[in-house]
Amino acid sequence: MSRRSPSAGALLAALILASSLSLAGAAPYLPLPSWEGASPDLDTPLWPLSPLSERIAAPSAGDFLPEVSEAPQKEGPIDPLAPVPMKGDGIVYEMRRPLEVLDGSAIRPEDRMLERGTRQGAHLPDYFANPPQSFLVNPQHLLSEPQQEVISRFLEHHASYSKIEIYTLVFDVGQESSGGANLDNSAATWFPDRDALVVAYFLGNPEATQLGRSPGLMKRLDDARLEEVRKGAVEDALQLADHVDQLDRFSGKTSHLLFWFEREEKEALEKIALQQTASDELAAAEAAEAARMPRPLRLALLMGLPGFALGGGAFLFMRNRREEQLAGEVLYFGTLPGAKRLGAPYSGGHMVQMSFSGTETPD
Amino acid sequence: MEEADLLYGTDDVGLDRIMDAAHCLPAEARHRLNHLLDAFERRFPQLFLSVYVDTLPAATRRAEFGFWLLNRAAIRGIGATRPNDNGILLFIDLTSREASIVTGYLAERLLPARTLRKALRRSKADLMEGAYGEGIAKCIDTLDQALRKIAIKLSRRAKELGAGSNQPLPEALRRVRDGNTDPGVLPAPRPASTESAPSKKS
Repeated sequence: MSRRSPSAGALLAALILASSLSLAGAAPYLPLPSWEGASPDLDTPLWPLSPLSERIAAPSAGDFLPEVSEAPQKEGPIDPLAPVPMKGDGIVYEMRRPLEVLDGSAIRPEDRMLERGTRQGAHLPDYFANPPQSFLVNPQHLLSEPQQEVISRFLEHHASYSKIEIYTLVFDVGQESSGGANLDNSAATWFPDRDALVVAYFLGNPEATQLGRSPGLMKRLDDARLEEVRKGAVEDALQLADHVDQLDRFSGKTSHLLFWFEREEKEALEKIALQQTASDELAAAEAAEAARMPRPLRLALLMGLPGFALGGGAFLFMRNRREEQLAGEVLYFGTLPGAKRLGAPYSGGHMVQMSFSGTETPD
Repeated sequence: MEEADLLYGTDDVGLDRIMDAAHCLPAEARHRLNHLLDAFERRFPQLFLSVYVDTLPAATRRAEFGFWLLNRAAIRGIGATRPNDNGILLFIDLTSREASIVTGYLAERLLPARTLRKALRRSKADLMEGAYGEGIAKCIDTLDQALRKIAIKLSRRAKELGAGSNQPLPEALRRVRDGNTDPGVLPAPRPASTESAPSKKS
């Protein structure tokens, strides 16, 4: 019960958050790197953001937070678990307090599960009964509203420039993610015509993250590349301690890696298209050249080539025949008298020499 | 020649048709070369071709030695109908890694230096790789083909000259062979037709 006791610190944080969100709500993300000429940089984040918890606590320029209004002031003691009224299309969000610290002591994940009374598999219909209605699926309210809002908006932002949508299903640590069903099957059912990456993320255990691809994405992103994305994002997430920060970083890194993947893919396709265009142009130029050739010349070429081939064949045939005839023939040269030289009786020293030690051929 | 004789001697030296003093030709290669040389000698009954492979001392003047060798060689198995004038000597020295072709007086009229050079060039790659049998075979083949062409040219020329000999001679001259047909010396050949055949009685 001590967890439910009011906390002045938490209240103050909620108030600061509520007031600051309105300031930073419209702040844009940093511009994406140029696709032309830039080499893939998988280490430098596209958006050098501070951890989500810090951004929410003390937003700075460049940080993105959802647009909310000031919370109404209430008198008297405030229940920290009471809903925090927030402006936004008339919807009043129920803000949950950070799960890890309620009264200063950390809650173990298993305690959290016990607290909610989650029974095995009972949560699954909330995730898989219907296609996701937003990029972040959080039916168990494992994230507070601001946290959910920030991460959702980020995923929306990702979808605004990427053709690969990221749907993140947030599970609690140790929970069953898909009831034995393959995430690829779910993605195929939900997004048969879109390129979507379905992420089963376990809050507090990024390494257990599972990824599923829609059929369209499966054609583009092979298993090895998918595993690279998963590993890269998990490694980045593990650098932070806070579980929600980890999810935020995981989403950012996944988006980052997909950005460069799409860039490489686009460049490869452009290269193929360029080569195809070049070969098409060459073929067209050759066809045009052939068309420009005068008809008599073409005719002469058409007639001349077979004639040349026939003539050559006949020549070779006659030559071979003559050589065959000569092969068995006895040939005399008669007498060809010549003057003797150098006092030599048989040879006057007519000779040719060649060295076969190198490349030169001396006479 | 006298200088060469002073260096190498005045006696004739016995030489095999294929003389492998360097022992670099395997039996199979020697067998093949012997076949080629047999064919060469059958085709050109006036000529012969000899191969001499040796590792001479480095100081030997090879051109001089080749010249002397063809003049002093008595090649076994080559009859008197083929004097050394008609010989072609392929001489390979493995010390200096040089190959030479030396020709006798008749062969030098038939084979210009260009042809000899072509024959050596064709064998060069094999000689460089140590495939001496193959290199020598290619050299012999090149010379064989060149001599065939030359023989054809000469035979055409001989035919042309032969056609010229059928011209009528002046009255004062008489062909030697004409005398053999003189009925007073030898009986005239019997003609094929009976009409013009002379009677035995007459």
